[in-house]
Amino acid sequence: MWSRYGDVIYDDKTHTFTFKLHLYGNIDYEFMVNGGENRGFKDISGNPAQKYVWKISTGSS
Amino acid sequence: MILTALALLLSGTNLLCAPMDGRILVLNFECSGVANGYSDAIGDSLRSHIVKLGGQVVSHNLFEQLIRSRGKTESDLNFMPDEIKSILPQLNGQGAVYGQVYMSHGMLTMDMKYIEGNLPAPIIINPFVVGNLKDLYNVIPEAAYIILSPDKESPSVISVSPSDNSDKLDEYLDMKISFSEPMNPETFSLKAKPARCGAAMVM
Repeated sequence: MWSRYGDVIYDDKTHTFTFKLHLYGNIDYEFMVNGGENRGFKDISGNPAQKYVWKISTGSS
Repeated sequence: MILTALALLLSGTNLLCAPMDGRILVLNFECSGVANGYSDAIGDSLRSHIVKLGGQVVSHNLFEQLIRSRGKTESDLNFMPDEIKSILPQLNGQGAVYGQVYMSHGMLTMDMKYIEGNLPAPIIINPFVVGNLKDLYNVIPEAAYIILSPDKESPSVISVSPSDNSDKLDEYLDMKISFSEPMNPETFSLKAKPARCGAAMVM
């Protein structure tokens, strides 16, 4: 239903990750940072990021 | 937070912002390469700078007596965080700093870790990488400041793009996630769930 392509780029000045996604049309998606068992994102001291969830929708293809 | 601390230090700002209340145990780091033999001197310098900044350190003599009574050496303890945690209450210490100084790719590297009794794992402080021993002594004041303000705060997402509830988006997207503080780029791990089928996957 989706895929990530290309590299993940991290900007250490703005603490921002940038990446590309290919999603399917006319679908609602929910994205989650460090929710549930997904505890990946950590700061440089090893502290895991707080959970964050957001939703987006694609248009008709 | 660590970078902020460094920026404050380098800008010459008065550093006594919020020093740690409790006493800190600072081990003599395990030293190798050109730093071999400087373990005591580096440890003494670090403890001295922590005190200059208003921090309190555990008596190193008391610590040495205690580990001798346990049949351990200070060198051993630099690799045994659980052992360090177990002796902190006896020394009335809040936390401990330990680590190694070694040569890597021709550069002198000082790895520091901070542990407290209630922390599940040590906080890994970004290593100091310098050219030689003289440069290492020059960064010890910065190291002391960082030790007094260890980063225990969880980072949070401050913005995402496309933003929450964006709709009618194209199938090919550039996505951005910004955090409140410097992140380890190797920990990228995002979960996505198409709402209609419910299959969650990590990418």
